[in-house]
Amino acid sequence: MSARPRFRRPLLAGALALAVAGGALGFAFASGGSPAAAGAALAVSVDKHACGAPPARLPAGPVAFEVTDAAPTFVTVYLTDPTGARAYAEIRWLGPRHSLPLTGSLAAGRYALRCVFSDGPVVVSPGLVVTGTAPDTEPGYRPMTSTDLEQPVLAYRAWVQAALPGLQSAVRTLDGDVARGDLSAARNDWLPAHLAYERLGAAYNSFGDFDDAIDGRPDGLQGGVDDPGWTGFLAVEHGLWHGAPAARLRSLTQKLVADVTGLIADFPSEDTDSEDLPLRAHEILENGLQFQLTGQEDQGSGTTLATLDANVQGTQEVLSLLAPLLRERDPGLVAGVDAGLTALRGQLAATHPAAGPWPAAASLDRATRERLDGTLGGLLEQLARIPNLLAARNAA
Amino acid sequence: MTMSDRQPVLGRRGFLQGATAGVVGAAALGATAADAARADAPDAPPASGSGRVIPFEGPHQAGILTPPQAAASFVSFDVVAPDRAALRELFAVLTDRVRRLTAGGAVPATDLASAPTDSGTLGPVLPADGLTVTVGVGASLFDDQRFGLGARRPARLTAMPVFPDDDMAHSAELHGDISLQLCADSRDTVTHALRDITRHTRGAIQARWKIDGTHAAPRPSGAPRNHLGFKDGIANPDTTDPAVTDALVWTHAGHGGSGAEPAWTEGGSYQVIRIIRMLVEFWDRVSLDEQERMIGRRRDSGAPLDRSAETDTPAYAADPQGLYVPMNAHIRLANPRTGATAAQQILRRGYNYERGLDTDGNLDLGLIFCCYQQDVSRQFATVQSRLAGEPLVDYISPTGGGYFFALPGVTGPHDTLASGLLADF
Ligand code: HEM
Repeated sequence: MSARPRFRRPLLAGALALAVAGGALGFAFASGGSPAAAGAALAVSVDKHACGAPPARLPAGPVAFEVTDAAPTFVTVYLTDPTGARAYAEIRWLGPRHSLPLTGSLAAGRYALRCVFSDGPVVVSPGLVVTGTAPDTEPGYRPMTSTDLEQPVLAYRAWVQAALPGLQSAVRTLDGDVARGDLSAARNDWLPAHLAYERLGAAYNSFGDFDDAIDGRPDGLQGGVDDPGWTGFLAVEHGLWHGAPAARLRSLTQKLVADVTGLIADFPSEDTDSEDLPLRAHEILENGLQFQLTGQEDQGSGTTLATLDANVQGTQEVLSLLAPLLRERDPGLVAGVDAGLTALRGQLAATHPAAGPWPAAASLDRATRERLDGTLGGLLEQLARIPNLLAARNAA
Repeated sequence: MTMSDRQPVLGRRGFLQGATAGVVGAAALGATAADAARADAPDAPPASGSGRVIPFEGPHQAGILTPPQAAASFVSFDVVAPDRAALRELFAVLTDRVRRLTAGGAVPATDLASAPTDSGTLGPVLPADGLTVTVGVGASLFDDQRFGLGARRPARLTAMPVFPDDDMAHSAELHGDISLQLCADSRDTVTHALRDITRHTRGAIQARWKIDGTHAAPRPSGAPRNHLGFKDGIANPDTTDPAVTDALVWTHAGHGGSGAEPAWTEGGSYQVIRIIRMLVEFWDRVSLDEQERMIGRRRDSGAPLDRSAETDTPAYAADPQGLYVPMNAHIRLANPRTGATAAQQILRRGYNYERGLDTDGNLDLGLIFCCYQQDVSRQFATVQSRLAGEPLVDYISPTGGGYFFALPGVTGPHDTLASGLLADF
């Protein structure tokens, strides 16, 4: 799909800056007040070998540090337990001579600040003991390093690699139908081919420009559906369901076969950014809500619910690869998301007879639509945690 | 799961996962009373907004007797939660959110693994800003087997019937399981509250229709004007007199003879919402005299046609033939001011709406008619039937709305909305 939103999040995992080592941090502290109550800050000066010098004791509840990077290099600052086994709060990227707040809400326990300088040094502050009780304190999470994602990314790429031949044979079947002038067969064979691609949903970012060519929407094109540059599944769909002549369709299906073949040749050399996988776990279905459940992407076949179902399958695949990492950090999350994905597929399946055609999204009755919207919406609220939970926090 | 097991992040995990917890702790987002106190501390950044805090707790919900705030949204939802346990959890979450939002206070810190706890549209310290959120339930919530609530339906609660002058055949803005009336001193406070509530209840309720309203400023004084140019909201029951509100606004357990109200309805109130478009281009082509005789009041001053000031009471007994206030004038039909009709009075709490254009390029302006009453059939439905065919109907077009029952109030820190409705199952 063209113009798919690229949801940006800061990429710090591999941020290894080049500047000189060492550094000092200036901290100002506020505690016991609201996180926003920086006015009560207590300034603490530090030397270049200490990641600040927080007060030795603080009461449980909200804390707010105003952290200044007095070093000449960028720094990532974490609030962790003394061993770094759990992280509670972070400043992801702080520049020299700049200040940012570091806020959290702490339960009784031992904590420390941990500075990870962009040029390598990791410095830990003296311990900080929190006593007492407070509502709304944070549980903290086991930080993850970027290498933790290597294995899932490899597995994911292998899964895509294994699925691509199926996609190729499906688009060849479609092209063969059109070559014979059998547009009725083409209308039947279009959906399995499209779903074979949509099931890979997670991959669109790793497919580079191929995704625009293979599954682009007309919306961003000057000529819209009449734009000569519009190619791919959706252009073929539009033609098949709007009476386009076989000759025009043939050029599109031939192009589609060529682009899929090109993708297969290219895929081994395309990088998959490790941060992409957790993002996809959330965002495949954000797109599913925006384009498929609304029916916005329908070019005539009325099958966006089938596409959504394929997107759910793609999400299930990604999730299964991430599940071990997620379970270590948030045991309940995987179970909740799994249940939601299963429920959503069940509700989608119930919209049509097992062997019968999918209903167009626009034709859903109100109760069915509301249930689907509710299930998908509730699921997205849960999936939204995955990218942050699995953000690389190297050396935290 | 106990309260102490609940992590602050649970509130952010989507509704259904949180449904495993029986209690909604003070855990999720928003501001506790203590936060609010801190927000007022001298070293805390001040909250913006009007500074008005309208108490959430009480025998009745806020937003009924509360004089209309400047901005409102009326939103109808359907419950998609699967069973009664999830419904109970929904009302607990709703109670928690409304309690926090109406109190205001500092936005809590964001958990490391979560998206921000708050949309941020009101800044880091939420202003209470005169916010009220009034929760109602529709007849459909009691309708079928979903929640097994049939026996608890408020005695007078039905789906809103079709009235003769209605234009609702193709309406997508009708009925619903739950209504929210959100009102505040500024628009962004209303929108923020709605966004927060939908986020925390995602997967449990799904919005069905929504309409936004504005309470105009007085021009130049007295009641504000509606889009017809007439002052609106002049005549209403005296909400400061408990004898009046007890007789006209609040529902009482056991009232109603054969069809007696169930015990849990004590202190609630029937809510009627009607989206009524005004054909203002047409109206503006009508002479002032005709306009005034349709309404029964002077346009400039708001005075009844037989009197001289807005607050004067029309004396229909002295005008039996309608020589001053025509017999079919809106105000005379709506409230004949006789002993026999006294018990039919309603508490109107309407808002002007404005939204886009129709296919002819005419302005879509109108009234979100909202009224509260003890008994919807004795009061609203009777008045509406009397208004059938009034001259004004040519200039207005009712296009949506619904009947709801505004729940009794939340009486203490451990009470929740609908606690009576869902008690003792
Ligand atoms: C767009 C539709 C409507 C318009 C433009 C409108 C306009 C007005 C105006 C200008 C007044 C006089 C000012 C005042 O006392 O507040 C009024 C009064 C009133 N209206 Fe309406 N109204 C509308 C719909 C309704 C409906 C649907 C009802 C109830 C079924 C209703 C019931 C009343 C009542 C009870 C009064 C007060 C009469 C009195 O006590 O003197 N109105 N309306």
